Amino acid sequence: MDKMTWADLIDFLPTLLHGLAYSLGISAVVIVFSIIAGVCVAFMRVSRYRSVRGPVLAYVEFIRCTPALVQLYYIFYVLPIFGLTLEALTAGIVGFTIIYTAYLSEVFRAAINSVAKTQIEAAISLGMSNQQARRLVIIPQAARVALPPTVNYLLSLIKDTSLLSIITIQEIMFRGLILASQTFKYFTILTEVAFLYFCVCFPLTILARRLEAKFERELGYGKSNGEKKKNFFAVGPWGASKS
Amino acid sequence: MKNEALIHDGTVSFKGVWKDFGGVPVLRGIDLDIASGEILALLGQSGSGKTTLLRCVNGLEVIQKGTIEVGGELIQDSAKGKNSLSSDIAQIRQSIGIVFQQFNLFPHMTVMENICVAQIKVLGRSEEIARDRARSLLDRVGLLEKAESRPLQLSGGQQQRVAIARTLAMDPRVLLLDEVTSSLDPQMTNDVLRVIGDVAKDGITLIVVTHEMGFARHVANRAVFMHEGVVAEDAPAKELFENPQNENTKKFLAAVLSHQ
Repeated sequence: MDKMTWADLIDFLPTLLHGLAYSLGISAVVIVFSIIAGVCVAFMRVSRYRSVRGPVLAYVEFIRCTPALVQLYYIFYVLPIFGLTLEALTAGIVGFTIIYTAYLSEVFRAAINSVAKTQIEAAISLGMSNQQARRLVIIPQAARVALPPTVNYLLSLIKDTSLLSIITIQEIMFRGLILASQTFKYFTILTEVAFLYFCVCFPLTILARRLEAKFERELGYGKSNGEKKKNFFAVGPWGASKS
Repeated sequence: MKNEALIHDGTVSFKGVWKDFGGVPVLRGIDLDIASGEILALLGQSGSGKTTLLRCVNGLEVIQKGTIEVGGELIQDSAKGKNSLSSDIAQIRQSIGIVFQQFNLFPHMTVMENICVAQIKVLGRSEEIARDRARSLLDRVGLLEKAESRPLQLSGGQQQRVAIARTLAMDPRVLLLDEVTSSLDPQMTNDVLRVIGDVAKDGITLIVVTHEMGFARHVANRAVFMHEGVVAEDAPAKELFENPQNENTKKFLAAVLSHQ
C-alpha cells in the first residue's frame, strides 16, 4: 500500500478538481434537461389517452430495468454500428439525460398524483381552465413535493457520472484512474476521489432533508389536504363526506 | 375585464336529471326550478343525492339524462351525448361559487393569494383591485389580520371563512354550499353560519346542503327534502319544518330534531 502524504494529496488535487468540475458540469446540464423532459414525460404518463401513456410507460420501464452501464455502452459502442456516432461527451450527456428523464418522470408523476383531486375541483370551480389549474395549482404543489427527491436524484447522478470514465470522458474518476495507473498510488488517489465526491454530495443530502421538512410543514402533507386533525369534528350520523 | 360573465341572473333549473355512479342510480329524475335570489336548503339523509345534485350545478358531476340551466345558460344537456357539459363551462363557473366541506384552499398560497388568484387570472382584474376586494371580504368574514397567513396556519373555521371570501370575490350569481360546517366544531360552525347568514342578504341564489336544521330553518326561504334520489318534498322552509307532509320528511325531521 502506498503511504498517504500531504505532498501527494496536494499534488493530485488540481487534476482531480479539474475532473470534478467536469463531473459537476455534466451533472448540471443533465439534471436541467432531465427535469424539463421529465415533467413532459410525467404529464404524458397521466394522460387520459392510452396511446400517449403506453409508449412512455414502455420507455420508463425499459430504462428502469436495465443498468446505466449497459445503456451507456450501448449508446457509445453499439449505436455507431448503426451509423450513429456520438462524441464521448455528447454520448454521456444524451445517455444520462435519457436515463434520468425516466427516473425523474416517476418522481414527478407521483408528485402530480399527490395533489388532491379536490384541489383541481376548487380551481376549476373558480372558473380556471384545465391549463390554468395545472399551472397555478397543480404544478406549484407538485414541485414542492418533487423537489427533495429530485435533489436526491441529483446526488445519485453526480456519483453515476463516474461511469462516464468507461467511455473516455475526463471526469474525476477517469483522471484518478489515469493518475493511479501512472503512480501506483491507488490508496491515496482513490481516497482523495471518494473524499471529493463526499464533500459535494453530503451537503446535498442535508439540503434534501431540509427541503422535505419545510414543504411538509407548508403543505401539510401526510394529513388530508386542507384539514387539520385537531379541527376534525364528526357531526352525527349524517357527517359522512359524499363529496 | 378579460371574460364577460355569461350568466346574468341566479335562476337554476333542473329538468329530468338522472345520474348514476357505475350503475347505481343517485339522482332519479329531478325537476326543480330555483328563482334568482332564493335561499334553498337541500335536506336529506346520507346517500339521498343532495351533494351530488349540488355538484351537478357547476358541472363537477356529469349527468346522464336531463338538462341543467343556470341563468338561462345550458350547463349540462344529456342530449349532447357522452360529455353533456357546456363548452363554455369554465366561463360559466365564474358565476357559480361553491364552498366545500373540506375548504380546499390552495395550501401553497397565502390567504390573500387564495382570494386574488382567480380574480386576476380568470376575471382579469388588476392586482390592486383584486387585493382591495380581498381585503374588504376578509374584513367581512372577520379575518383581515390573517391576510398573509398560510391556510394551514388557520383553524378549520377560519379556513372555511377564507374559502367563502375566495368564492364571493368572483361575484357569483349562484352560491353552492356543500356541508360547509360538517367538519367544524360547534364554535367554528357558529362563526361560519354567521358569515353565511350575512351573505344570504346579498341577493345571491344560495343552495345549501346542510345538517344544521336550526340554520336551514332560520335562513332558508325554501326547503327541499330529498329521498333516494328524488325530491320527496318541496315547500317554504317554515312550512316544511313545521308541517311536513311526506312520511320520510317527518321521520327524518323527528330523528334530526330529537338529536339536536
